Amino acid sequence: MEGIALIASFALTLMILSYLLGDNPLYRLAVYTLIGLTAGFITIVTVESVLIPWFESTVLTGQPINIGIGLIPVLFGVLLLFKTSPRLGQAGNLALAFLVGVGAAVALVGIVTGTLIPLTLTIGDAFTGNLLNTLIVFIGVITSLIYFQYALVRKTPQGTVERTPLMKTLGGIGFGFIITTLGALYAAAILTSLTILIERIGFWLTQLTGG
Amino acid sequence: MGNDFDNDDLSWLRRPNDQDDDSNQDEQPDLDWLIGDQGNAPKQRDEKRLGVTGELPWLRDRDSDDQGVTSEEDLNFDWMSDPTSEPKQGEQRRLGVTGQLNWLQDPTEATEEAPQVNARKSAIEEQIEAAERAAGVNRNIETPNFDDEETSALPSWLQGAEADPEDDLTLDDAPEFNFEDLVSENPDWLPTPTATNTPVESFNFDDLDVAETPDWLRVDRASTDDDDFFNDLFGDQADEVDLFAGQSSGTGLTGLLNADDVLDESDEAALAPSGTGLTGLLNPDASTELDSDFDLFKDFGDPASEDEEPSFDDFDWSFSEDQLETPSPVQPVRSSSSMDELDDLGWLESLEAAPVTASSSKTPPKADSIDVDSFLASLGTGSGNEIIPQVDFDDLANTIDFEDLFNDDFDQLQSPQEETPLPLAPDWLANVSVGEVSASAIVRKQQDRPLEDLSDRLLALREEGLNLNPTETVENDLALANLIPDLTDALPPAPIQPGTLSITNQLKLTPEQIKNAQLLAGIASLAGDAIGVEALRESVAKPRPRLRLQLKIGRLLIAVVVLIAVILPFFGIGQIGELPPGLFPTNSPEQRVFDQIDRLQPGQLVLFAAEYGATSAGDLNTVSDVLLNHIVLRGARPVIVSTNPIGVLLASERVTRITGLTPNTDYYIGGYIAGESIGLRDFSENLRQLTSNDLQGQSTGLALNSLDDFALIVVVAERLESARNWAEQIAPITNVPITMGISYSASPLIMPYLNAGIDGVIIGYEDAFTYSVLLEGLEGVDRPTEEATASETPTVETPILATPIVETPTLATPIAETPTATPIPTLASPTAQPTTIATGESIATATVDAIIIIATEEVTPTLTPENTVIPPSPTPIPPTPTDAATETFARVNASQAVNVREGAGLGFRPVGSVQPGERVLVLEANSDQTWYRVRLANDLEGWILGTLLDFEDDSTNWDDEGQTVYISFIRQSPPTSTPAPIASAPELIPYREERWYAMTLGISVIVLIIAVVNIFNLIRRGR
Repeated sequence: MEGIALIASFALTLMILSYLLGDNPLYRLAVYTLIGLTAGFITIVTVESVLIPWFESTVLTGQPINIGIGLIPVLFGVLLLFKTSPRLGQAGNLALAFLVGVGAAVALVGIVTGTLIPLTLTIGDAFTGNLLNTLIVFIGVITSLIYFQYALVRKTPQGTVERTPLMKTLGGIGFGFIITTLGALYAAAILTSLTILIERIGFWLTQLTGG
Repeated sequence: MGNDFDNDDLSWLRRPNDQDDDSNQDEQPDLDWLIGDQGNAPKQRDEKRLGVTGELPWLRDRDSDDQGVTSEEDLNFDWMSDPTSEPKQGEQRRLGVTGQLNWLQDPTEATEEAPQVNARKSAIEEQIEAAERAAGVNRNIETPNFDDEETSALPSWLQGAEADPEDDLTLDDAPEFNFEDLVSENPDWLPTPTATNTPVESFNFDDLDVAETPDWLRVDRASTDDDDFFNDLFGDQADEVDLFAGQSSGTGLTGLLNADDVLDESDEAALAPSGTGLTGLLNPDASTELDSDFDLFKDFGDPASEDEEPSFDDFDWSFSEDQLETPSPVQPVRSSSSMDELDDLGWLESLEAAPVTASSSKTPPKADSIDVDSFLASLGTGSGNEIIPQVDFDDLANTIDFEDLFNDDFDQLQSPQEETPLPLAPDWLANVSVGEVSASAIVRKQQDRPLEDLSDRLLALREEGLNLNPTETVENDLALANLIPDLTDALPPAPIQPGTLSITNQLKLTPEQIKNAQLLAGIASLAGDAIGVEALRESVAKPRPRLRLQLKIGRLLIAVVVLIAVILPFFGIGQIGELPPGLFPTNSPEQRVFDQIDRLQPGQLVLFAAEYGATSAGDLNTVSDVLLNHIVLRGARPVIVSTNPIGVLLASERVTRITGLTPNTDYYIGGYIAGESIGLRDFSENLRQLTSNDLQGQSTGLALNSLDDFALIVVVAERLESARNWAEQIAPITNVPITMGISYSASPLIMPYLNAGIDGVIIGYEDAFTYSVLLEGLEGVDRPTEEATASETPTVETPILATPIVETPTLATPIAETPTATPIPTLASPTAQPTTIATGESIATATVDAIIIIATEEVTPTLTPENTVIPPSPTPIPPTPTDAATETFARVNASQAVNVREGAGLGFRPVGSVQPGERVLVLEANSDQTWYRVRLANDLEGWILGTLLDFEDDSTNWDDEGQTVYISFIRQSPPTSTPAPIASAPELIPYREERWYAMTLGISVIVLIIAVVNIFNLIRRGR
C-alpha cells in the first residue's frame, strides 16, 4: 500500500510539474484529481461530522421542539439551493440575508475585540518600549489609512479635483508602506512556494534513498 | 431694364413699384411682366390666391363668364384628393393630396370649420415664403381678386399696375379652382396659339410695367437680344400647350405631361424607362446642373393656332443632351453652364407650334387631347376663347397615380440599363436586398477609391491582399470559406474546430456559433451543398481535440535553472550560506513558543488547530511535526481540530507517524469545525459536543466544558484569515495562551497580533529547523496511566522520538533533577499512596495525596498538586564524583551542534552549544551516567548527553555522589517484562540541512533571474 501511495504521489507531482510545458491533459488530470478528492473528502466529512450529528440530535429525536429546531437550518439550506436558479433565486434571499447578517455580526465583534482593541492597547504599551519601532508603526498605520482617504479634496483652477498637498504627502508615505508590505508578501509567497518545491524533492530523495 | 439678366441677377423680375422688399432690388426677380396690362386690366379677381403659388388668379371660379368653363364640376380639383374619402364632420374637404390646395375650394365655403386644414395652410404658406425669400423671390404680388368677374383673363398678379404690393397672397384667398377658367381663359400674356410656330422675337423689359402680355410673349413681336431668355423660355412658336395631354398614358406627373399618343419616340426615349414619379421628368443622361432646369420651359413655344389641337408632340420634356442637339420638332434641351447660355432662348424657336384650340365650349376637353403647349400658348391671347383644355378630371383622377409622384427610383436615374452585377460577385448576392434596394445595387454604387488617395497602410494591405493565394486550402474541412462557395477572394480563415472552449490557440466554435454558421449556410443557399453543414454537425457530435504543446522556452529555462539549483545541494553541491542557529533569541516570539510547550505537563490537553490544506502541506508539515513532537514529548495530549477538513487529515497523519501513541488516549482527532469564524464561536461554546467524537465517529472520551480545560492552544495556519479567526474569536474569550506556527506568506501580517492575543509564533522552515535542533536529545516523559500501585516499581516508558542522534531513546530520565552534587533532602513519605486515575477521566479530576519534595538549588518546574500523581520514588542513586587526578576528555560525536544545558536533563535550559568533534573536558557524571558535566574551550560549563560524547580514554572511574530525585508516573498496568528495544524512529525532518541549503541557493538563483530579466527589459526599453 505504501508503495502504491509512493508511486502515485511521484506521478502526480510530475504531472503537476508538466505545466512547465504548457497546459496539457496530464496537468489537468492531476488538478482534477486533487480537486475531486478534496471536494469528495470535504463532502464526506461535512456529512458525517456536521449533518448526521445534527439530524441525530434534532430531527431524529422525535421531539417536536427538537424537530422544529432542526428543520430551521434545513429549510434555510433548501432555500439557498434556489439561488442556483435565475428565476427562483429570490427565494434564497432570506436564508442568505440571515447567513450574511450573522456572519457579519460575529466578524464585527471579533474584529473589535480581537484586533482593534488589542492593537490599540499594544501601541499604547509600546511607548514604554522601543519608541522608534512604535513611531514607525504609528506613522505607517496613519499614513496607510490616509492613502485611502479622499474626503479632503479641492478643485483646481482647471476644474479637476485633487487632494490637498498635505494629504497628498501623507498618502504618498502611506503608499510607500503599502508597497513595502505588498513586496514582503510577494517575497514570502515565493519563499513558501520554494519551500514546497524543496519539500517535494526531499520527499522523492527520501523515498528513493530510503532515508 | 434692358440687359439686367445679363448681369445674372434677375432683377428684371422685380416689380419697379415694389417698395417693401428689403433686399437688393436689383437682385430680386420681378415677375411684373406677368402682370396684365392696365389698359386691359383683367377683371377683378378674387383676392384669394389661386394656384399652388397663388399666382394663378386666372384659375378662378369657372362659373365666371369669362372663363368659359362649363361647369363647376369640371374644375373640381377634388380628383387630387382621395375620391373615396369624405371630409370629417366639421372639416373641409381636403383638396389635393396634402389637402393644401385650398385655393381650389369654393371660396364661399367656410374655412372656420376646418381649423386643421387652415393650420396646414398656414404652415405651408410660411414654408413657401421662406423658400422664396431664400431664393430671392419677391412674392409681394397682388392678391388676385377672383370675385371680380370683370377681371381679364390675365391674372391680377400679372397685372403690375393694379398690383397692390401690400397685399399678401395666402392660400386662404385661393378660390376654388375652376377648370372652366382654365380652359376658357387665355391670359393675355400668352401669345395666341397659331398654327405655325412663330418665334418670339424679343423680350421687351419695358413690358414689365404694362398690364398686358409682354410683347416678347406675343407672337408678333420682334425678338431682341434682351428677350433671348424668354424666347428660350417660351419659344417663338405659337404653340398651344396642352397641359393635360397624355393623361391616359402614364402615371404620375409624367403621365400628366406625357401621353403615349402624343409623345414621339424621341420623347419617350428621353424619359425615364419607368416613367414613374417625378423622376420620370428627369433624364438620367441629362445634365443635372441647375441651368438645365431652365430648359423645362423651352418647350413652351408659341401658342398654337386656333385650328390646331395642341398636343404633347410639340412638347419635349426630354433633358437629354443628345436630344438637345438633335434637330427635332421639339427643341432638345440644351445644357448650359452659365446664365448667358440660358438666356439664349433659341431653343424655343424649335418648338413647333401646336395650335391651341380655342373653344367656347365650357366642356373641358378630353384628357387625352390636352396639350400643354397649346394650353399655355392660348393663355396669352387675351381672348376668352382661348383654349382652356376641357379636362375630364374624373378620368384624370382615375388615371393618375399620385403615389408615383413620390416614388423616386433614383436607381433608374443612374442608369436606364439593367443592373449588371459586379464581376466575381456571387449569384446569391443579387438575391440579397436591403429593403427594396438590391445588394448588388448598393455594391455597385460603391466606388473604389483611387490608389493615390490610399494611405501607406492601406496600400500595403492591398498589396498583401493581391499577393494572397485565393486558392489556398484550409486544412480544416469546416472552414468558413466553404459556406460561401463563390467567394474566392476571401482570405483564408483561421483554423476552426468546433468544440468546447478551452485554453488553446485554436479557434473553437461554441454551439451557438455553429448554429449561426448553419444559418449563414442556409442564407447562402447551401441547401444543396451539405458538406459544410453536415461536417459542422458531425464535428459537434464528435469533437476532435488536437493536442499541441507550445513550449515557452523562457519559462521552461527558468524552471530548469531553479530545479537544478534546488537539487544540487542534496548531493553536496552548492551548499552555500550558514545553517540557522540552534537557539532562538531570548524572549523572542519563537522562544516563547518553545517555552510554552516545554512547560506542558504530562497529561495536559493541548488544542492543536491544523489550519492548512494540501497545497501548503509541504511548508507546514515540518512545523506541525516539530510542534506535535514537542507536545508529545512533554507528555501532553493534543486534540486536533480544524476549520479545514484537509487540515484535520494532515495533522492526524503527522501524529500517527509518532510511534507508541494510542489514539483517543495519547492524542485525539477532533471534528471538523464548519463555518469559519461562526463555527469557531460555536466551538468555543459547544466544546463538549464537538469533541465527544473523533473524525471517524468514535468516542473520544473527552468531557470538556470550556476552552480553559486546555493547557495550551497551538494553531498552525497557512493563511492570515485562519490565524486571525482564532485570534479574534478564541483569544478574547479564554485565558489559555495561544501560540502559532504559520507559513512565510502570512508572516508579515500576523505580527500585529503578537502580544495582542498571541503569545508566540514560529514562521516557516527556518524556525522549524531551529526548533528541531532544540528538540534534539529531548527525551520524552512518562505519560499518565489509568491506574497506579505504590508497590510497583515505576516503570518509565518514553515515547519514541524521531531524532537522528538518539539511538537508544528508551530512557527513564526524570524531568527534574538536582544540578549539583549536594545531598538531597528527605523525600516525601514513601508510604503515600497515589490515587489511581481511572481511564478516560480527565486529569483535572484527579487528586494528589503526596508530593515529593525536590531538594535542589534550583526550582524545578512546578507541578499542580491537584492534577498530579506522584508515587514514591525509588532509592536515589548518588552521582559519580569526578576523579580529580585524572582529566578525562571527550569529543562530541554528533553530526551537528549539541546543546549544553544547565542541568543533567532535557528539562534544563541550554546555556550554549558545542560543535561536532570539539574536545571537551569531562568534569562529572550524574548518578546513572547518562549526563556529563563538561567544560568547553571557552570555559563554559554545562551538561551534555552521554551518548553524544566519545571519551578519549575508555576507562572511567566514577564515584557516585549525591542523590537524585526522580518524579515519574506509574502506569495503570505496568508491564511485567522488560520492554522490547524500540526501533529507531524516522527522522523528524529528513535532509534538514540539505533542504536549507537548497532554499538558500534557490532563493539566490531566483533573485538573480529577476534582476537579470528586469535589467534586460530596462535596456531593451531604453533602446
